[in-house]
Amino acid sequence: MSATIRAGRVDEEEALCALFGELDAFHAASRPELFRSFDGPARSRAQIETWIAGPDSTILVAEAGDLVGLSLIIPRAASPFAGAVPRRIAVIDNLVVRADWRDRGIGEALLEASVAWARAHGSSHVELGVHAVNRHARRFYERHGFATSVHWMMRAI
Amino acid sequence: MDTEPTDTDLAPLAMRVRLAGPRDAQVIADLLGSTDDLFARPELAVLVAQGDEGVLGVAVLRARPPARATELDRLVVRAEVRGRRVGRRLLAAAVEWSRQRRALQLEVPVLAADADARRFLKGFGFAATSDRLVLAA
Repeated sequence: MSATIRAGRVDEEEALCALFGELDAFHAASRPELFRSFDGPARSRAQIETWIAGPDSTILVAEAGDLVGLSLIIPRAASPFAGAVPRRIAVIDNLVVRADWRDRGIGEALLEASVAWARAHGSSHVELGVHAVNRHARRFYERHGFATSVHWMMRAI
Repeated sequence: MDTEPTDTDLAPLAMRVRLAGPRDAQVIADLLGSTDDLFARPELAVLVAQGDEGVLGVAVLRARPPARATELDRLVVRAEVRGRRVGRRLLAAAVEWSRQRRALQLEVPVLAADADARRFLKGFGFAATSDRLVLAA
């Protein structure tokens, strides 16, 4: 592993947006019924500031000269269902490694750092969503101990 | 969602699906096993299958306007009328409700262990879209 994992900074907005944009492009290409490309920065500066400033959210980055990967962690609102066991859930909302830096353990380092961050911030569980088409990602997370809790099914109306 | 989709030889029951109101709160709470006040939450719509002798099942729908998707949060059929097409009628009504809302998709979360529900939905034209994975931190 040749990258350092650390917290991202607001002044890295442009590099962060490039990474978000790479993931967005993958989603738009693989799930065109759900995602489309759009003009402008992949994420607004205000949004990035909020994530970085939030007590229960953060952006971790992998730095190897440039930023070559990121992990966005956000909290999930507690279930309003009275019968749900109370859990504090951190969601890894986006995790991406630049295409030319894959297969070097950077995703793994980001994932491990994300779980450690969530634990240190009082989370009992870490959750994430994986699109059905993204078998590679699913295998990656399963290798790291994640298991399916909810299987989403969809039908066009 | 929790429903019993098994096909049986039992005749379909006479029923109509309607929007639930506060007067249905108790029977809905019994079916869902929850005392949450669903009618206080404007993003939700609650449908019930009304039979001759009471409510046979309930479906809770959630609108997610920005995504133009709706979500079927819960679908529960009374245990004693399972296999009698109550779930199908509620699901068809959920699709129709979504269509009227101009949603593009209807999404349903199924617990990973619930293979019956997954089969039931597949038979209704649903396909896997994404999974939520979890790790104890």
